[in-house]
Amino acid sequence: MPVRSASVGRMSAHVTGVRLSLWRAATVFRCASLIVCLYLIVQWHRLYQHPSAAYAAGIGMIAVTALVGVLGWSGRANRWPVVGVDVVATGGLTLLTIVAQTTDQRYGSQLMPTLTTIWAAGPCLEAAIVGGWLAGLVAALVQIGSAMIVRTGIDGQLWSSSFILLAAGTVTGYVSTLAVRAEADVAAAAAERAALAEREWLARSIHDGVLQVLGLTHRLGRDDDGELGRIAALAADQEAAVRALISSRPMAQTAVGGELGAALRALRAERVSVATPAEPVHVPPDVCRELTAAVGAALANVDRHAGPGACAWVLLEDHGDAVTVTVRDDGVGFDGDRLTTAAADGRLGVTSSIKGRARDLGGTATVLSSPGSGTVVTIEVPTPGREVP
Amino acid sequence: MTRVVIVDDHPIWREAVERDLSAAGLHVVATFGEAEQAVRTAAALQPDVVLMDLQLPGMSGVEAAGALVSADPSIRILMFSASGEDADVLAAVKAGARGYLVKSAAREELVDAVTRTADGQAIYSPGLAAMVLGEYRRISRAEPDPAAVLTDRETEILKLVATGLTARQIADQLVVSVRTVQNHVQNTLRKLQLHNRVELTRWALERGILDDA
Repeated sequence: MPVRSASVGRMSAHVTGVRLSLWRAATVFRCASLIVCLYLIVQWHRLYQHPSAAYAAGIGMIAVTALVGVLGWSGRANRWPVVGVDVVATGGLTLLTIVAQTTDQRYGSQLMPTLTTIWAAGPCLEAAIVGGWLAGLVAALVQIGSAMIVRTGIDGQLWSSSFILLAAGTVTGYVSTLAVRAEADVAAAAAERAALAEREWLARSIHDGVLQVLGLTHRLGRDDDGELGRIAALAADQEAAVRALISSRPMAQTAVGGELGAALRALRAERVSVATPAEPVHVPPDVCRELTAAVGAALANVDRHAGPGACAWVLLEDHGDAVTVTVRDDGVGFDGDRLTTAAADGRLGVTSSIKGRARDLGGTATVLSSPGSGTVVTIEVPTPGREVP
Repeated sequence: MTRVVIVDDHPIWREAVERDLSAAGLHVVATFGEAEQAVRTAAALQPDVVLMDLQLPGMSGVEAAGALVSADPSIRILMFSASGEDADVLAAVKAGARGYLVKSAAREELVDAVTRTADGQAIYSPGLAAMVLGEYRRISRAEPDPAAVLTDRETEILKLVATGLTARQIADQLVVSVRTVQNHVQNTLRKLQLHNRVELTRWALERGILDDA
């Protein structure tokens, strides 16, 4: 379906969206800081011992800002090589201060800022956006190292600007990682919704076409003893299989709990009818899991012991503060008093496992049976403090 | 002779069902591929039973059932669908349909269900019984209505229906007649439909759609 895949495609391009937006914001900061630096160079060029070195640094900053800005704006610069080159180039341009300024200006009585000053914060932000807090930290340390070479050590002013660089690098990195993760979650949820919608669409079309034809084939051929009868039986099997496939919902387990109705309906089969309320029955995840497992065990028991051709019916009732699940079969049944026989053929094991699961959930399970009249398993589990629609 | 109208958008299904019902001696007076036309002509055809597919193009089976019942509250509609039970079945029954049958039902089951619908009985599948039970519990929690409460007997019988027992088996188990079981089952449907009608009227009054007078 072209329409759906297009929307999924847009979503995957969107994953880099937050990063790209942050990068563009960093580019704006970079341009603004470049203007400040250029203004200072022009303002103070007479004071420098080698103004040409300061001009060279200014031209270098313009070049780096333009290159990284152009690449970054289109989204192509969100890569390690570009960030790496930027970090090193910025550090290098800072070192030009050694040529441009006198020793007095660098660390003496006429102390001046380095040529790159706040512009040097740019690569820290970019590294942080691309690689997270650690990359931001490393980039900040490189710029601080470069400034320390210019100053031949660390003084009070450098301490405070170092602190700002480190904070900018790590905090931006952390926020960037969080934002990217949140964005991925949103995209995953949207993809899941799209998949679900697609599944429903598919279920509807299968329902209207395939199921109707299979059902009709079964209906027309079921009384035939020959080839047609066998085809009808195959059609009935496929009908049940397809129906089970389209009715099994991946959303049965949610973060807040389980939808017991959907979980039990997934157990439907040709000889298994599952009846649930129309409203969803939300229960804690462990209740959903254990009850579904208990019903599965009861149905497996029907398969093994109730005899050939036995059918089973599952009923889910929602009492608000409790849920009841009944599993009935029309099989051969057994004598409830003859526990030794039951234990011998394995029924007792399953029965006690169902009772055990019910007990673990604070509920009860009863098994009623007599020879010739099938078996009824009733499981009741309390679900206090539940919000019922 | 029982007069039946069939509404189903699949021609092959329509023909197969018509053949089966005619072979069993029922009189299929008309078949329709969509609901609008069926709703328009139903009154003139005077059917004993309308056999209505749940999934129809255009007007849905649920809407059609509602329209037919509001035009003639005594009309007997049996819903029919290829899928398992879903919320639409409950909606159709609340709107006034007298029962529900899955399309995979055997020929004899179909004939039996149509005949019993004509006789005024309610046709339940286990899934529908569970949804009706759930609906009564929902009503009692949301806005208790003394007219929409099941007796213990009715609840008991509905639960047995929901676990696949036939009216015969339930009658044997409870030591009552089949007719008594059928009456109880019918009551569960009647009370729910009555509640639904009162509900709809109140809803309409509150929003000024109907005049109080």
